[in-house]
Amino acid sequence: MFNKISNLLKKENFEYWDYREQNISSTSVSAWNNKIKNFDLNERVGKSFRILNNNGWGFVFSVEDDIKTMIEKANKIAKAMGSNEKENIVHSKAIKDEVSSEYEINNEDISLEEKKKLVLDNSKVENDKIKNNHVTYQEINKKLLFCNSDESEIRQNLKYTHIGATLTSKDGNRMENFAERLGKLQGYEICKNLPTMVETATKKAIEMLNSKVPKAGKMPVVCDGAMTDVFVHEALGHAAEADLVMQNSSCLKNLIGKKLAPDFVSIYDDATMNKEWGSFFYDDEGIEAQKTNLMKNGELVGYMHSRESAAKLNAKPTGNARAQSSEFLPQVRMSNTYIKTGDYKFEELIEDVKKGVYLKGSTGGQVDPISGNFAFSAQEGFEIINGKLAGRLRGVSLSGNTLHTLKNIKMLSNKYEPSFAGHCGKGGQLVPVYGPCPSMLVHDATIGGI
Amino acid sequence: MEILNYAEKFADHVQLNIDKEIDREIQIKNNKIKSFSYNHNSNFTLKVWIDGKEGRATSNALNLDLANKAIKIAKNNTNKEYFYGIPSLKKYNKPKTFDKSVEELNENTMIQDAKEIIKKIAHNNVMIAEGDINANVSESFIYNSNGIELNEKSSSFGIGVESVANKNGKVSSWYETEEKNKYFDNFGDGVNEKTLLYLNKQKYEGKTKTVTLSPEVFSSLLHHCLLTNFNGKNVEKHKSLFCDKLNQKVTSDEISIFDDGLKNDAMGSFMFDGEGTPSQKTCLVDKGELKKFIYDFNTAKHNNTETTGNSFGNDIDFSNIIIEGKEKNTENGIFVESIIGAHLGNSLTSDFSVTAEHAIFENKPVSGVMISGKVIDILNNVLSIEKKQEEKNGVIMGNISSDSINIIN
Repeated sequence: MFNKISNLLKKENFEYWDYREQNISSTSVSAWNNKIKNFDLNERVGKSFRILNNNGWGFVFSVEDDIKTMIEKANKIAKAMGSNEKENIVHSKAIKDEVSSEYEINNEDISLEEKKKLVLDNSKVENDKIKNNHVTYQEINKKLLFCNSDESEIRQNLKYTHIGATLTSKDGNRMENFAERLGKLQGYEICKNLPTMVETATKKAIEMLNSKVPKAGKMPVVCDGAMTDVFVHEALGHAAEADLVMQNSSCLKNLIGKKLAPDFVSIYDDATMNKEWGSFFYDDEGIEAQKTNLMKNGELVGYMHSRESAAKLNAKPTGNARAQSSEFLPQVRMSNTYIKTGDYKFEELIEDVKKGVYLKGSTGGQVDPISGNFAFSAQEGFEIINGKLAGRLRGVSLSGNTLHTLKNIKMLSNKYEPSFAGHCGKGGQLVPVYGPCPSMLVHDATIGGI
Repeated sequence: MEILNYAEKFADHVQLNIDKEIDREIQIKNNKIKSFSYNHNSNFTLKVWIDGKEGRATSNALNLDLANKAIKIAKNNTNKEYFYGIPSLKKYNKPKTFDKSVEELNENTMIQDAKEIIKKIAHNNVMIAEGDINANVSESFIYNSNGIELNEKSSSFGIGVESVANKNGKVSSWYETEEKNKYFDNFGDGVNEKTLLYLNKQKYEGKTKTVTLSPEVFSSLLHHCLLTNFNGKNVEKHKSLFCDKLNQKVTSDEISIFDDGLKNDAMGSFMFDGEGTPSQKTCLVDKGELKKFIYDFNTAKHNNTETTGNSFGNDIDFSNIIIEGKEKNTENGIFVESIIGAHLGNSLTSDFSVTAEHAIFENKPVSGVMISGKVIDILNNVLSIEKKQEEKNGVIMGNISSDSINIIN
């Protein structure tokens, strides 16, 4: 493909170009109370061509157009922008590679009948207090081709599998939800975990019927691994995306080399984690996936970069330029972002807390990376009274400010805990992200209740 | 159409939805036009039903394999909880959804507009961190085996800008967005000044009990905390606050809420829904009294009512929500213009607890305010809804003031 495009571009002298081609197929099946809710096959094909010319980027995606037409269109719109301000990118050595993710059981070898049976068998309601049991299965098979003007030609075959169970309990007028989710860069083998996930979600959903709304206010908070992941991802991770730093949209701008957290806090983004939901081999600019140190012993040491942000901030690309599909321009995105474990057992995190809250799991978060203000909600909450876990709480939200909270991290546990495999949204695009983190004790956090 | 003829050989009912679009977008980053994207894409969704079992396949490329996939799914599927068939052709009203000014928009004009916006906003310590100008023209088609053959052309033109002010070590931001179905060129007035205003936030120390929410804020709370309760499917599944409350008071007397898919020039308008049912104006709440839920064809049949033309994709969803009330003389209290955390609200109870990111009290910007409460309580304790309406996030309404919102500072 590289040769074909090079031949078409013989007379042109673009600063940079890249070409992406996709064939993405997915199967989704979900069941609600032992009845099929959705059963879909989806396919996204097409190709995109991006050029840097006349200091402007032109991008064209099409299913039907031939490459020659796309090149002409991309060139025309890039030229029309015309800028005197030099637009640089970091070039790289040519890479010729074909890589495939590993799996034990190929999803495509499993019949539709079996996938249907998986969700039906696991979505039965077998407890009087359970009102709804919603089980989902999704497989995504991506065949991606990338080539660019640095003479790279890379083929990636990526197989993602995601399963989930959301249980709704009911007692009188009171209803509670509890969700378990698992996603991996793996095959059908992860589905063996589904019965345990349903069992756990059932137990938790019922337990949550006996919970109360917390009192709002400032207090010490212990976050489990999943909630710590949301803090690391939303509050620090987004602000460490170099495109946001470049455009003054980050509270971490000009803070490289500054001590922002205690010595025991180190944070990484690592797209090479084996078989994880946020992993890949090459980003959407053909840069090899890598482990990037964002914070080392409390000091901010790096941002995540694309080729363009690396050129602007005099850094190296970190393999974080990701796009939802070839239909979109790549942006600086996270992969698997996590905080390194500390030295303490979980019990030690709570033992000195006289009155605080323990937050488990997450139902989402939002941050303004400019101010660093954030709001997250927990799936489960517990009071901590005199160093012991006490009553269950529901609808607990945590709000605060990134820089303030980083300074107030007091302890980290010594174990990584599983987090939720989810999708991160930015600029209208979703990409899979993950982050196994330890539990974390934070002082002076603001708790709200809904 | 070949694919329909082919699918009909195997299926009892067939429905094909086609959405074709040409999307052009300019990205602005750091006061500079960064990129111009041209996206020519389609979406084909084929649904078939065999012995009441549904098969659905989607692709952005049309070929007979799409039919084979849908048929394969139907054969492997179980019977739906209920299936009463698919709609047939009806009479249709055509709201204004297309304006040729978007289709005819020249790429050089879009680039020139981007330069003008940068010039208008980016000065006096204010910069445009990022922004976009988007021109989209799409055409939707639907065909089904009951004789429906319809198409509708739509256009949208939108501009969004995130501006940042940086002065004497203080940083503030503002997000301004506007979307219409026709071209406009007067975007950005007041954005520079608004961004600068928020440089001087002072900690809120007032005692007011009144909170006024902008349409941007209230529409966001509505979507995350209340609207799903008007979905007929959720009512059927007992997942709605409004189960068994038809014809009962659910809001203050002066409040009326409509779902209106026929409103000219509104972004959620359409001639037909995803099943080919005519769009309509549905009164959900009339002067405080709950009157109707929204439905698709099969959910309506199952609940002994008529579809309201609200089928989108595989779900029931809203078109344009219109909230009407009375404007009364009242203090603004804290005027909240943007929030963080609306999506953390509870749609089963309408509870919310959010940070007021941009808020004004006594004409000055304030910080450190969280607001919480129930959306349904706000609608039961409305002090005023301003007559001047804005369309934000699919909701058309004016600023709304209430004294039932908790202020945490």
